[in-house]
Order: sequence, then structure tokens, then C-alpha cells
Amino acid sequence: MKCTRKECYVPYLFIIPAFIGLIIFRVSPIISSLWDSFHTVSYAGGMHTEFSGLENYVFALTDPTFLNSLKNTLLFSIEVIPLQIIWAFALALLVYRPAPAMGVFRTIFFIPFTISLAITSTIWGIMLNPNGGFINSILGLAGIGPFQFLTSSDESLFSIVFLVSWRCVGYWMIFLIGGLQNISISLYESAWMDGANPLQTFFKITLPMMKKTILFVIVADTTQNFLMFTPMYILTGGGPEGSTNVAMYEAYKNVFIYADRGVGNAMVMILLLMILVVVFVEFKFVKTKD
Amino acid sequence: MKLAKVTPSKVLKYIVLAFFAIVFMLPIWWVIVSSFKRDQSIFAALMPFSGKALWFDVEMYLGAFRDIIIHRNFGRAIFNSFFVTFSTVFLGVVVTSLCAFSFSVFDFKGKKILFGIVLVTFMIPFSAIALPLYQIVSGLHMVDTYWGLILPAVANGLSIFLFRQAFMDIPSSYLEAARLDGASWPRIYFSVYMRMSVSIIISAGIIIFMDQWEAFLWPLIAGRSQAMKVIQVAIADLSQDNEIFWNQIFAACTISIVVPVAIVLPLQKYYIMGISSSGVKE
Amino acid sequence: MKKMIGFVSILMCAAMLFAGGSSETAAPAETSSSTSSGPVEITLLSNSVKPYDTAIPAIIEEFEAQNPDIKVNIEMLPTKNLLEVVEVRLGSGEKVPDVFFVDAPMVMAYSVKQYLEPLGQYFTEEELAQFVDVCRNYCTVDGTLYAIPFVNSSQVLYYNTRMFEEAGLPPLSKDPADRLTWEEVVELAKKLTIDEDGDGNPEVFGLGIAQISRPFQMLTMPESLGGQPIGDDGTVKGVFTTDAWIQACQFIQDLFNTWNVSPKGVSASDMLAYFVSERVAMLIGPDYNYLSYSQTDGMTWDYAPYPYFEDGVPVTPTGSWSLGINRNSQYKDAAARLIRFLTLNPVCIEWFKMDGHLPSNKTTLEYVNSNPEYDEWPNTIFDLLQYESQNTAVARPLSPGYLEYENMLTTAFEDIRNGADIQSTLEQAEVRIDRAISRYL
Repeated sequence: MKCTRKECYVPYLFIIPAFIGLIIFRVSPIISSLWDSFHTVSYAGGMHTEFSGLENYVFALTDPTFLNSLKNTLLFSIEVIPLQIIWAFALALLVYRPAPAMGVFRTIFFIPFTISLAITSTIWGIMLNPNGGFINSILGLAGIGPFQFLTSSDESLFSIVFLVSWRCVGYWMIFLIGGLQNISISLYESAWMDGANPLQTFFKITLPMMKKTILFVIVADTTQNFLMFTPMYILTGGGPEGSTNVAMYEAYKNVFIYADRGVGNAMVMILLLMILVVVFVEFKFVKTKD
Repeated sequence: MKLAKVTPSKVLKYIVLAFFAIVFMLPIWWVIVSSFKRDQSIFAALMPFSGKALWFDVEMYLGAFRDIIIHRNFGRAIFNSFFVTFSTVFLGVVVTSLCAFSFSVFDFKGKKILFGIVLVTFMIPFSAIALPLYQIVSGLHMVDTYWGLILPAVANGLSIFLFRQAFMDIPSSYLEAARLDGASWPRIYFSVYMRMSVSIIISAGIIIFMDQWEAFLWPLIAGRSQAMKVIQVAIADLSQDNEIFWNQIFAACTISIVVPVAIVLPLQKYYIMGISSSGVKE
Repeated sequence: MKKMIGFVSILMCAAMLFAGGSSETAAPAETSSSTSSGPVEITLLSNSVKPYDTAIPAIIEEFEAQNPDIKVNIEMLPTKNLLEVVEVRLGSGEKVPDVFFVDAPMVMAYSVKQYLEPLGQYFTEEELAQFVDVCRNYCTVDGTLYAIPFVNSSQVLYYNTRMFEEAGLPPLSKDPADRLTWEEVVELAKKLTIDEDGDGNPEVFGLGIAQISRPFQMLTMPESLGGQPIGDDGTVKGVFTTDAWIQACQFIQDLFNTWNVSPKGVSASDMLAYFVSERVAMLIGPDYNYLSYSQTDGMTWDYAPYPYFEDGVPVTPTGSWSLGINRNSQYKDAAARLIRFLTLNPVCIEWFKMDGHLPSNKTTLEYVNSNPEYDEWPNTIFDLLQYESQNTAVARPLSPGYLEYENMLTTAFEDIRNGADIQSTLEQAEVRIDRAISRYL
């Protein structure tokens, strides 16, 4: 609705509270990070800050540790996002139609999400103990394992992918159920009349109708997981052998532990740029898939 | 509608569902059971793991709950978590819905850019900006205060996004009718838009609730003192360099599991409704 | 369902009321303390590890009783978080904390970053002479005193006497001259490791190492073989890839992988619990743990000197928390009074009785030596600890980049423990640490 001349300030009044918050607590920290990323603090001969141009960016992008952590971030995302979405989709398909006890199952699947990530990590850290821990004992009953989990560089990243997914799939499932319930039953009915099998209806009807929902879930899932490092912080400290050292954690370490704000913030800027690009590509990819 | 008949595919479906239910619930069950045990008993059944870990001991030991609440000041941490979370939800819902109202009802200069800012900010996690944010909050003298924990999380971009979607679906005829009746804009916002969006209010509330309930790094650095500690941080403190108090960790986890479940589950129906009715429509 | 929504909204409103209330009460407190009148409020940032979690509040209560004009807020953090929070807060130039725990090797880094107030003016020469020389040197950078030693530390080999008997092993000697070699420790550990069901996961492990992977503990091992922790030029180039380091790291790796006598994937904190619950038979552990062991019913334990390598010399860890004052603190005098109270005679003796750390104050050591109470087991442990502190203790390296050094080296040790290739892990550690340190040189 176009405002009348007299009332042109009204729309701004409504957004002011939110934008005060966004500008103070979101936008200005980013600007501050950006400034820091072009400066270097040096301690040789007394502490001083000086403008250093792109030096921090060059340093970050030639640092093998950071490059390895970027690789881990991509690996983590490539594993965690599809796993969560496929798993959540499978659960949603199982429970979205009304049937006895479906509400109970939905609730059960959603419960892990209400446990905070820090606590999820603590709990799974205990369960994944390689020396006769919970999970190894149970897998042992089925004749599988034992695994080293978080103490092996081959298994640690996937262990974290799994525990993060365990917590989150119920959440994404809820979104997907919402989308599934919006698909009109008449579409399916006409497909059945034409003699389509379940697989065909899934690819011909369900998936296309769910495109927007899936896009939303993919984007939201990406923003939630791409820069996540709480489990690594709590469980592995980035090890073993740097195998769970994701890029945001490396940036965090540079800022908070190594007191190297310039390099740390340059890493943060690189990562923010990456996440924007990734989300943009996701939009494009899903949109052109018609 | 088909009649409820037992078919092999149905049986298989329930078996699969039961399997996943176990995957999701077993760890939680184990945590809850363990919180009623003594330390030695937990440890004895832990490494190596034995089946005893999954059932209560003969004696229900409540000492762990007593210890964390009395000696470790968890009462305060639990209160802080609640207080911070609910304040954030309340402020967040109000602030973000007002903003979304403006975005969906009005046309104004800079709307696109401003909405772009909203979209970009919701992709940025707290941890990425924790240090500069800390310096800002410190400059505002809000470190170690409730404000410092609450305010940064209030303007939630995802919540603005959700509200905007829902408000845009409300037919403009309602708006026009209200304008003809001479209703003021705040009145329209409240009596028309918010009234019609109960399920979205709950969905957005839960999103904000979860963001805050799950926050770890920010309260870790911005709310350090005993008086400001939230439960996630208090639990992390329990697993420190010295002996771990297993049953206390489990007791604290139990509290932090039961509480959000008790709050979120009754609202779950609305949550699904809210999301399915708008959130996922682009 | 309407009721539910009503209830939740009432809850939220109540919460908002509380928010208003608490902020109103908090704000005046802040301003009144700065305009004086009423007690000065200072903040102490302390480690939350046992025994500090209970001992610090107790001793602070006493300080407040004796100094009614000062009120002390205590903030407590586990070691890792403590170091991070100091970087965040002091790096942002905050006024609080006023007094904070400083790990001894960090003094140099903090002084370079200008976090610490020089403390010389608050202490007389005689008072400073009370402190053990090693500890005082740790706190002095270029002749300026930046922190006051609060506690010292050492490590011993604790063992479970009942398990030793069951394995048919004689008790260990307490004489430093007869200390075990690491090689002998491994042989004992193999005999003490029990895997009843034979599944490759022992129920009882022979040996636990409390501060596993942390330089405080681990540096003693290459040092015992003649390795250096840091080069003379302040860098680590070529330092970690010497034979001494590689041999020591091979030993660490074998403990966990080849001989399987130590539990993998167990953090420092769990390791302590393993000894108390009889899942490890021997524990390389901190000096002050004797206090809690002697207070635990049914524990059968004794102590022996810290081991060394057959081809090397005995080296034991030392150095612990000091107290420093934030350079931006508004209440430096009050802060200095708190530090004086905690570290000088007579309170230092009282503190010692509460926490059990090896004292950093000579008058406390004299008290221990002259008091017949300390001739009886288990207090005799202090004879050993003092011997170690005077003869075998080697301080961690003094470097302005110690924080980076410690973090990166911890990662390297952890990888080696998990079975990573030793040579390449150490080479990478050298490169990374040198790059971090170069900013200070």
C-alpha cells in the first residue's frame, strides 16, 4: 500500500526497533570485522596497530592450516546437508499422513532438537568413547566395529556429522511435513487413476510440489551448519590431526586464542563471502531445476 | 480414505518408525536414567558399557539434583536461561512482527535494500561476529547483564522473514476495511494482522526460543559471572579439567531436556500449522 | 490450547517485569561504587578447578570479613575458558576483572600485550623475598614484576596399592634416588592392565596421565632425554625434530597404541575419575590430589616419585597460577590488597591447608618442614615435592607467544597420542608455532 504524503514516516516507525537491533548487533560488528581484517596488531617494539592492506587475506589464503580447515568445512557441509535433508524427508514421508500413533512419532523425532547443541555434544562425546563406550557396545552386539570415532582422523568428522544430524533432522522434518500437507490430495488421486506407481508419483508430484519447501530447508540448513563449530570446540578441539578443524573454528582460534585479530577477521570475511555465494548458488540451482 | 487394514507394508513402516524412535530416544532415556544414579554406579556401567546403564538402580538417588541446585547454583542458571529466553522471545516477536508488518503492508523508499539487510543478517552466525559484538556490547556497558544476553538476539532475521510471508497472505480487503473504519496503523497491526497469525507467532517464538536456548559461545563470553550464567555454560563448566561429576552433568542435562520439551511440545501443532501455512511459501 | 497461550504470555510478561526490576537495581550499584561511599567492588577471575571451586570462596569470605571496605565478586572458569576470556576481556580493554589468575608462563605474553599492571610498588623487598625464586622469576619480565606467585605445583606417580597387591607387585619406593624409569612403569602397567573378557578393551588400564597432551606435563618427557622446549633464539625451528623429542613422542604413542596400557579418547578430567573409580592402576597426577584421596573412604593409594627415561635424567613439571592486576582496573589499590592478603604470610599458610598445592611461599614451606604433622603419611608427600622442586623441576619456556605455543603443541601431542605420524606432526608444529611467535620477535 502506498502511503499518503502525510504518513510517509509510518513504515519507518514500524521497522525502527528491529533495525536498531540489526544495525547495532549485526551490521556494525561486521563493519568492525572488516576494518580489523585490513589491520595488523604487532607486538615487536611496543604494541601498535597498522594498516596492512590485503596482507591478512593473503596470509589466510596461503596458510595450509586454514586451507585444510576450508576443505573440512566443505566436506562437513557436503556430508551434513544432504544427510539431514534426506533423512528428514524420509521421516516426513513416513509420518505426514494421519494414521495411528503418527503424532507420537513426530514428537519423538522432534525432541532431540530441543536439546541444545552444546549438551548434545557432551552427551554424544560420552557415548562415542572408543573403549567400550555406549555406541561401540551396541554396534558390537550386531557384530560391527569397534570404531575409534572421535579419536580417529578418518571417523571423527563423520561422527560429528551424525550427532549434529541426530539433533536436527526432526526440526527439518517439521518443515517438510508442512510442505507435504500442502499438496492437494486430488493431484495424487488423478495420478493413481493413471496407474502411476509410488516412485513415479514421488518424482512427478511430490518433489516438484515441494520445491519451495526444500529450497527453504536447504538454505536454512546451510546457514545453520556451514559455520558451525560448537561440537568441535567441545569434543575434539579440531583434531585428530586437524580432521575436524573447520574454518570458522580456525578463525575463532585466531581471534580468541592466538590474539591475531587481523588474520582471524580476514578468515571471517572470507567465510561470510563463501556462505553468501553458496546460498546464492543453492537458490539458482533449485530454481533452474524445472 | 482407506480402511485401517493390517498390510505388510504398514507393519514394515511401523518397524522402521520404531527403529528411528529408538535411535532418537535411547540417548535421552539413558541421560535421564543416569541422572538418578550415584557417580560410581554410572561409571561402573559406562566404560565398558553394560545394560545396567539403561535402567534405574534399586535406589533412586536424587543427590545429583540436590548438588547442582544447592552447591552449584544451578537454580540461578536455570532461572537465567528461562528469563533470558522468554524475554528474548517476547521482545523478538514484537519487534520482528512490527518490522514484517511494515515490509508487507507498505511501499517505501529503500524497502528492497532494507529487506536485503534482513536476509543477509540471518545468514551470519553469532560466532562469526562474537569478538566485535563483544566490543560493542562492552562499550554499551552491557557485558554481564541480562540486556547483553537478550538484546543481540532480539532482531531475528528469520523471524522477520516468517512474519512477512504470513502477513502477505492476509487479503488486503481486511486492511482496506479497517482503514475505512478509521483504525490507526498500530490498531490494524494488532487487531487484524497479529490476531490472524497466532500460529505464526508461535512458530517465530519457537525459532527465537531455540536460537537463544541453544546459544553457547555468546553467553560463554558475555555472561560469565555466577549471577549471569545460563544453564548451557554451567553444564560446560561441570566438565572441567578436574574430576567430572557425571551424575551432575546428567541431572543438568535432564533439566535442560525436560524443560524445553515441556514448553515446545504442547505448541508443536501450531508450529507445524504456522510453517505449513506460510513459512515455506517463498 | 487457548489457556496454554494465555499462560505462556503471562509468563513472558512476568519475565519482562523481572527484567525491568533487575536492571534498575543493577544500574545504581555500578555508579555508586565509582563515586565511592560504601565498599569498593572488585572482581576476581579465578580458575574453577578443584580445589579452587570451594577454597577460593572460603578464603575470599575471610578477606571480606577483615576488609569490610572491599567487596569481591568471584568469577570462575575452567582453564581453557579462562585463557580465552582473558584474551577477550583484557584484549578489549575492559576494567573488569580487577584481579585474575595468570598461568606462570603467560606472564610474558600478557605483559607484552599490556594486560598486566606492574606490581613492584605494592610489595617490599622483604615481602618479595618470601616467594620461591623459580616462581618469582616466572613473574618477572625484564626486571619488572607483573604477577605474584599464588601456588606452585609438581606431579607424582600415584598408584592403587590394592591392585598392586592383587597383581603380586611390591609397593614402590618413595626415594627420589630409586625412582622408576618410564620403561619400568610400562612393564608394571602391562601387568596391571586387565582385559577379562578379552575383547581388546581393557576394564582396567595400567597407567593414566592426568594432564595428557598439555605441555605442562608432556615437556618433561623430551626434556628428560635432553630435549629443549624452545630454541635459544626464541623460535622452535629444529627443536621438536631432535632425537630426544622423537623418542619421547614414540613412547607416548606406544603407551596408547602399541602397549595399550593407557585409555585413548579420555580427557584430562576423565582420567582423574578413572583413578578414583579404579579404572587405572597408576596415575601421573598433580601434587594436591593427595588431599582429596586421603579424604576419600575406601581408597587404597600411595605415591612414588615422577618417572624418568632410562637414558635420561629426572625432570618434573613446575609452575602454576599467579595473580595479576588488570592494567585498566579502576581499583588497583584494593586489588593489590587482595593479592597481598592471599599470597603473603600468614594467610598463605591457611590457604595451603585448604588447597594442598605445593606452596610458592617459603614461609609456608618452613611451616610444613617444622610441623610434626607433616612427618606422617600422606603428608610426607611434601618431602618428595620439595625435593623435586629444588632438584628436578624445569619451568615451561618463557616466550611472549606461549599461548600459541601451548595450544599448537597440545594439538600435536594429542595427534601423536591418537597415532599420527610423529616426524611430520612435529615438523608441522615447528612451522606453525614459529610463524605465530614471529609476531613478537
